[in-house]
Amino acid sequence: MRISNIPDCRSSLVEEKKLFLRDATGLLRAWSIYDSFVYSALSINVVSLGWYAFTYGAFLPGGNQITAVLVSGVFLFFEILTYTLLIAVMPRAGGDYVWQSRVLSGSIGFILSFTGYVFILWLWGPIYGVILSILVFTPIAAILGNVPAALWWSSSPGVFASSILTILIVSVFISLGMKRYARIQKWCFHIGLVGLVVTYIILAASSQSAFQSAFNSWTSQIFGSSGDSYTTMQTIATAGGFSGLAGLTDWNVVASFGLIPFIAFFNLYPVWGATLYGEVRGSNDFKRNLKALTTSLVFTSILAIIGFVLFANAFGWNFYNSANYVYWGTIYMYNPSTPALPFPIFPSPGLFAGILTGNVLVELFLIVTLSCFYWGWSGTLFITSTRVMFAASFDRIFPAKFADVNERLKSPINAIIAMAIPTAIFSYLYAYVSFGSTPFSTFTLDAVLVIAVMYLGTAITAAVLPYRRKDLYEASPIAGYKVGGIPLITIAGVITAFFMAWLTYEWGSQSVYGVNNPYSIIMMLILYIIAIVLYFGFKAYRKKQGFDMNKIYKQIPVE
Amino acid sequence: MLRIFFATDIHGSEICWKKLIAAAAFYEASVLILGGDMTGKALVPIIAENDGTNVVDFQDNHHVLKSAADVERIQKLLTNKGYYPTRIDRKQFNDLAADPSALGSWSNGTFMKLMEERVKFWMSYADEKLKGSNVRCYVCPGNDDMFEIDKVISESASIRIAEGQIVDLEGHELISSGWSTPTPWKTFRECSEEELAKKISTMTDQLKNPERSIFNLHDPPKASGLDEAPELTEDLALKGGGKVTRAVGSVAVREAIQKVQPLVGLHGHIHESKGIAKIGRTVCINPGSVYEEGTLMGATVDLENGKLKRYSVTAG
Repeated sequence: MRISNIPDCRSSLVEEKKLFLRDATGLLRAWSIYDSFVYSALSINVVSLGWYAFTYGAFLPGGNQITAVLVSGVFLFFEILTYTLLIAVMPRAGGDYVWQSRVLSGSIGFILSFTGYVFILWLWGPIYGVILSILVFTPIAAILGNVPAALWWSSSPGVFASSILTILIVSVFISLGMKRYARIQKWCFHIGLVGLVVTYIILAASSQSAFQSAFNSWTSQIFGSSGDSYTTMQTIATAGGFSGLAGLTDWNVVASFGLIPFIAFFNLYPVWGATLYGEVRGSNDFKRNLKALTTSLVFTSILAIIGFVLFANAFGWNFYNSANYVYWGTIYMYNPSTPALPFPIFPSPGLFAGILTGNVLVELFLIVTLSCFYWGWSGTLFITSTRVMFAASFDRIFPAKFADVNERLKSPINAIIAMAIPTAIFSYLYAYVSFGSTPFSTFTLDAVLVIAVMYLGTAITAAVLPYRRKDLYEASPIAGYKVGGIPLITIAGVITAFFMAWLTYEWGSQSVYGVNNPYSIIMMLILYIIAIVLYFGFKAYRKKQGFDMNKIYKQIPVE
Repeated sequence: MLRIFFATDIHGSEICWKKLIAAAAFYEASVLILGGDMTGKALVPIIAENDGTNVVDFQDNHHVLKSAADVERIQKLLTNKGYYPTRIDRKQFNDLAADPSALGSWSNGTFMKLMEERVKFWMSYADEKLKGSNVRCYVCPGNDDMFEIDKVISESASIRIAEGQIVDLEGHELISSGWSTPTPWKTFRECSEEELAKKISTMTDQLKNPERSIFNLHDPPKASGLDEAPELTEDLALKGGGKVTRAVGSVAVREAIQKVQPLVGLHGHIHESKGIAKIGRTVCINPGSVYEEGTLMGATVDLENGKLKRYSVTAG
């Protein structure tokens, strides 16, 4: 016993927790809230995800993007609350899979988490790819005056190439391990923030007339466009059906709800790191986790809202949304007679800010620094998938091979291959394939829907946990958190479940989101069927080997 | 067929101990092995206030206990989570909090007393439950367990200490050690890699059929995936939000497994690094530990005809 030699950290624990601790393995100081904040903030980063998602706002003219970010933020706080409460009860690597399988059932846990964290990430691969193309490679090529290259990166082969590049980069990140990747993430976050702050300063110091002049000059110089390109973009949008957007000061709460299923593409995942928490002592610190994740949601929402105000101030709200409308219109809506666009690439706010300076070096500086949001975020593509595969293979319901770490490469090669090959196939489908007149890429929001369905399962898990696993709940640090006698985790779970169910209903019932399409539904059904077949197939196989799989999750009865 | 149930790192959790004993019937195992670290880490004072109530702070919650039933309920909860509840009055608590040397002396004595009492109760519980059965139960105190508990365990009729022993399990020799390589916490049973290698080789040199043996070594093999612990800062805080890990297992354990190639390696020590790994032909298992939740993480291992027939991990 060395209580008298308690190191400083333990002395402070005595004060904070009113515990008397002895020297024993695993007694730690709490981790830095900032580290968790960075991971979460990158998972919903305003540049890679936000600037892509915000462009869809042009298709719901009655809505206000600020209102949509704020209202969805309120619901997402409950999502964060649900997850941090669950982590407090059961801190587990594999997150949603473990919670659902232990509280609801093994089949639900496997099916929802494998579709939400593994299979649908195959579709996210090309989405990451297209974001890399349109926010990084295309603008760089355009700034350097290479228009064919700029257009190529945004075309089918360019998007496919970016997707394959993404797969390779993400595989390397996983091979580096979390230690190095976490370091890369931090650097990327800080450099990206520098780029974003400079972008915002340039926009704040600008005016619409200055932007119009700079834009016209730049499109003339790069694309050879003549005349007032700024006005032409808006004229083309109007001719194509764009009816203008409500002003940013018109809150339009009801109409703005329609924007939330688009905005969810950006901000639905502040809890994405939940699969990574693991059984680390201190990881179940509810208040620290809540603080870290809520801060990231608030921080990101504020950045998004500042962005909207600055876009309206510098570009003009109508121009910004017109540019978005015509960009997507050329891909999904227009016929070949659509007039050539004076600005035929993705309307990236970072590029627009660079254009305002008229300086190639500043333009490149902004695109390169802002691209760090992409690099820091991209590792999230496969890391969570591998954790879920590890957790399921530990339960013997998925081949152990997928949890193997190659000793020479120090990397889970099999798990990476299981992700990389299907992702490459989906990348091809995304870049090249159409079903009739419907490009596969229209199904982008399927990628969010399947994750929302998994979150729905986790929210229900949280809501029923105090009743189905009373033992776990009563022993947890959150047992005392009740509102009107109802466990807080139940209330948070019900609100989150409602939000996820509503989102799913909206995606499924409104054609504007591109999800309620027979081919899209078939694709998602196939993913669920694969999960169902895998689960029950493995269960039968293990049973044949003599395993009683039902006992794996069952509590040992004690007299 | 011989079925072994293995669990580890229950750290004072009474419900986990009871589940270990019940696991024999539940998983139909004839051998129970507890890999190490039986004892808990913290005393939780239940403070008697002058107004007749008792208060206790734990898990970020302040509990006011108004009745004897409340006190009993919280004591049971704490005991099942591996803590040692101890009754103390407000004046004594304040005096201790203000005097580090008095705190050290008081907590040393109290820890010792409560640990011994709990282990003693566990032994009598096991003796009662396993009486008349054919179940054999082996424990191997781990690096976090003070040496005094060995004597208490040795007085049990049903529980055997396996440390440093070669135990015959129907033709499979089980070797065990709860010692670990040095940790940042300087716990009781720590030694250098060289010393650990010597402890292991002392046993492996005596194996008659090493290819059929079972290693029950608390420290997991280095860089096996079963030894990934959170990387710490100098003041023992978690790096990277707890997501950054590094291999902290034992080279000596790994080399012994590589050399002897037992059928199975059973390990613990790193609670958060549950997993199954293969080193050569040896299947190594760390079932992990979530003792504070009252869930017993474990593994069943089936041996037949000198071979490993199947293995599975459990969360009961």
